[in-house]
Amino acid sequence: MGRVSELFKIFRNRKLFVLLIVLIVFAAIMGFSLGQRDNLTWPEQFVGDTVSFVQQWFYKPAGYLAGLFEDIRTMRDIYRENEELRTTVARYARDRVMYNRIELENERLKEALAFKERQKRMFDYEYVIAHVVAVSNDPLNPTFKINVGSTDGIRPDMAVVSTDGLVGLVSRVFPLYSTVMPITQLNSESSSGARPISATTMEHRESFGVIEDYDTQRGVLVMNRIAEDDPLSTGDVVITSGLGGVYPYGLIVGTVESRQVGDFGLTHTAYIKPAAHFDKLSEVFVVVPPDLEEAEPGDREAEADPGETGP
Amino acid sequence: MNTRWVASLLLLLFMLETTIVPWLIPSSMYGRIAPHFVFVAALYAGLYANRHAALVIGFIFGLLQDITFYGHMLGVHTLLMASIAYLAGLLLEGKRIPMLAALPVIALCCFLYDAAAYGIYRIFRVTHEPFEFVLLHSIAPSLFLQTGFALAAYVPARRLFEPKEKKSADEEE
Repeated sequence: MGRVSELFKIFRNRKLFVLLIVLIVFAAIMGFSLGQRDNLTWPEQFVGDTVSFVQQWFYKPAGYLAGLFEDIRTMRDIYRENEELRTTVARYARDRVMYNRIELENERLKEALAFKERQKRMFDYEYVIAHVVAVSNDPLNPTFKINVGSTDGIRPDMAVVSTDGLVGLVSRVFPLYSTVMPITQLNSESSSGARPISATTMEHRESFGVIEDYDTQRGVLVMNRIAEDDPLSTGDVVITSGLGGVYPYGLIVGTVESRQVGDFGLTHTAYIKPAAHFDKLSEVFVVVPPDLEEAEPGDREAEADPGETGP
Repeated sequence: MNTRWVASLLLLLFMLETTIVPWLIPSSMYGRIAPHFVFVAALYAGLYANRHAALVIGFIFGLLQDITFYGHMLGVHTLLMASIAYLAGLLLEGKRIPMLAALPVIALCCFLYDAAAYGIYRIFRVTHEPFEFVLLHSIAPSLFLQTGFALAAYVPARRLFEPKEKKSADEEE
């Protein structure tokens, strides 16, 4: 009895009691808000959108100014860059002719093989352009905000790319804005953050591995579960394979830096240097897969395997 | 302390630290320097105004940051900003601390804030880096930025938050 009354005496101290309640409430909020949530409550939506609406007035002009100074600093390189771009354009014009021919032939072959409408539209990804409006100031939660939201058809877990390569995944969707979680937050132990990427390489289409971690200390992505006899080698360009059900097919992730025997000795592990830059972003593209409402994402991605596309 | 004036200034500070400051941080320090200017302002409110103002500022702007950049989970910054600013106010409120004492206190609070945030993320398995690495990689560089900002903002912050001697009837929280 004495012990219990002592306990009550502690709780008579109102401040301590309040502190305890606050800690419990916050622990609960953190636990509930961790992990997948498709819909946010209206206070969250309202606050998130209002703040981002104001933030966009600051971020873009700052980007322009920074770009201007960058231009002045790198003026000497512009001549060389111009030369390079000219050769690239020439190559592009040549490839364009080839591409048109191949595309037509591809269409014809698909018709000949009696592809279903759904199979034809499988890789018709829509690239929705989005401007970055703000960047998080928490190094352990380095999300950034883009100016498209659920009213633009954006859903959680859509891939986000820049012109260089895969940047991240849409994390939370507000009505007019959404947050993007960069792939530097890949973490095989966590239920939140970016999803593991099932990957292959441009050079060896039969390669397979799963990128499920990011090594902050070395600045590389870790690709696990590579078979021992896999042809993947240093310098290969790693792309998404579309088999995992989250990332669409063919997005550039990075280049293989090194390969070694994995932790358990059964499979190999490769370290991949990301292709995209994650800071000072101003424009990104959200990859919207076709006929989202008709097919389950799992079914669609299972069929995305190029080996199964025959009739 | 004019509440409306303080609120608009803090809002501007919050906008700056999430939009313009990231453009000024060099690419080599990406993911390493984190500006927490509003938190420093909340600490100044705790030191020179009163602990309740610090609590309110920390809570509101922590909540704003949590919701705006909702990635892993909600509530980390709300809890830490409000509680640490309140604690600083509770211990040192009205002591009329000079600058040389205020700066170490702010640096300590910023360290506590970053370390506690790391702890929470570690508990929820959002991060798995060892603490020694995070300390050198992001906490220490951020600490320099925060202390630098605290030094620059000392005079205006003190003028803003410290209650006026003559007309103490001025609006206070």
